[in-house]
Amino acid sequence: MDILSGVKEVISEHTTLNVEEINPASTLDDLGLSSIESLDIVFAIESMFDIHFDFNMNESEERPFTTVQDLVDATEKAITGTRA
Amino acid sequence: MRRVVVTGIGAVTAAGAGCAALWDKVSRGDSLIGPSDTVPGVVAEFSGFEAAAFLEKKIFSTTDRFAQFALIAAREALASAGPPLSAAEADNAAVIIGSAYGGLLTMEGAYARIYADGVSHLHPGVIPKSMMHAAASQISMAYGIRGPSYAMSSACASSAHALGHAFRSIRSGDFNQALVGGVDCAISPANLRAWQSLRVLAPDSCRPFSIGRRGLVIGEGAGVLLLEDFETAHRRGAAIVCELAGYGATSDANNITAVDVRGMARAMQQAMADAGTIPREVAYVNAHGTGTLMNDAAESQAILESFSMAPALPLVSSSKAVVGHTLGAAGAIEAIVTCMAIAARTVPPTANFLGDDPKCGIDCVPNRSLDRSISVALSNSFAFGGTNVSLLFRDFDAAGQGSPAIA
Repeated sequence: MDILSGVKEVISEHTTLNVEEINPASTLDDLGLSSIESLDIVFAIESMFDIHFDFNMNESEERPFTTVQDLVDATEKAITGTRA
Repeated sequence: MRRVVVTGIGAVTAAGAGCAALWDKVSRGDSLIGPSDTVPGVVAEFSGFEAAAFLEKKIFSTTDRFAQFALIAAREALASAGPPLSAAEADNAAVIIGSAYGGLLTMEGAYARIYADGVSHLHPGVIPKSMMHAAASQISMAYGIRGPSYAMSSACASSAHALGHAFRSIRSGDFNQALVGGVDCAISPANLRAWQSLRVLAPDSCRPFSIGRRGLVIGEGAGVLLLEDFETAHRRGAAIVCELAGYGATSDANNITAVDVRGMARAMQQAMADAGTIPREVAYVNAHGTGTLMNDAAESQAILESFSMAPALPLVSSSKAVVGHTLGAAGAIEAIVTCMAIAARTVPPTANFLGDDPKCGIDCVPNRSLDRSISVALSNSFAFGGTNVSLLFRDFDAAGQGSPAIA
């Protein structure tokens, strides 16, 4: 499965949205996800791809992942890091 | 209405056993945060704690670390409160000990035996050691205290709720005396992993209200206070540390982990109203001050709102930079720090401070204590679940023993 499809699937499973309603540019706010719900999705993506996102909620006042594309990019980076 | 006074205090923290050790570190801003003996990352733990140094074998072999800490703190609280309670007093006194976790270490050890080691039988002590109110029960047993005894649990506000509840109960005459406080010893690999998954733990240290703060640091500890109605304390000749005069408790009804300025501010405002105090009288706020971006900015905003009518803002500091976030014990340990600040006429600093965060805008007494007479102080405790507590302590002499405002 490509990364975008996997991320969309995870978000769909954690919300009432269909995968068609989720776009790379969608923000997690747009999708109605609270901070703790976003962490839930982060954990599901980590489990799906067997990776770990190293971040701290206190590094920035912005959320660590604003859009779906941010999650895809971080996943790609983590997978590359794992292989390296 | 009856007045409620603090006559005894006892603490076990990363500073070791005793309020003197706690105050020495907190008042000097000497942080106890460092690498853990048992888990990855930094914590504030009582390194090298040996129960046998403090408790009889019969007691320490049948208790979890959390009950041991609570027993040691309770012993100090009683010893510092003048003559022992009489049999009649003990018959009616209460023991209320807050905790977020109870005997987590014992329960985790039992789970590891079953799920990892594959054993089929467990030691019969697992339940009596780990149950949430085991600390309260052990204190009741140790001192023959036969009034109500139980735990209160609301994560990081547990012992603040316990203090507020006991305060109201004594004030209304349900009982005359209570050993009240909180304890948590929850520094385990599994629990630290669970906290790490929330991405709120600081990798370096705890820096409340500071620029460059990166989150909270888990600590362990216990705090126990002896609360009494004034008449009882006076009759038996107990020395009075200060008065517990107000309690505010609110819920955000919003989000399980988010912070809410309004809920925090309402708790402080309720505590002041409950004590018949106006904002300008409050000289010091011992903040919840966890060191997360969100808490410290929201708590600062709540303080700014609550004291907007006062000519000057109260001084604010967080003890968590020194003793870490002791979870269910935090409310009691920080209440003790607040009482000691009033008694010592010293505002303890916020340690580990690097510089002002413009999002906060309060004076958090960076790194060095201030000599200051404190007639009234608040101690804040907020918790996941959106539950907020503020307790108001007052210098007893300054308040006057027959003040008509609170008669």
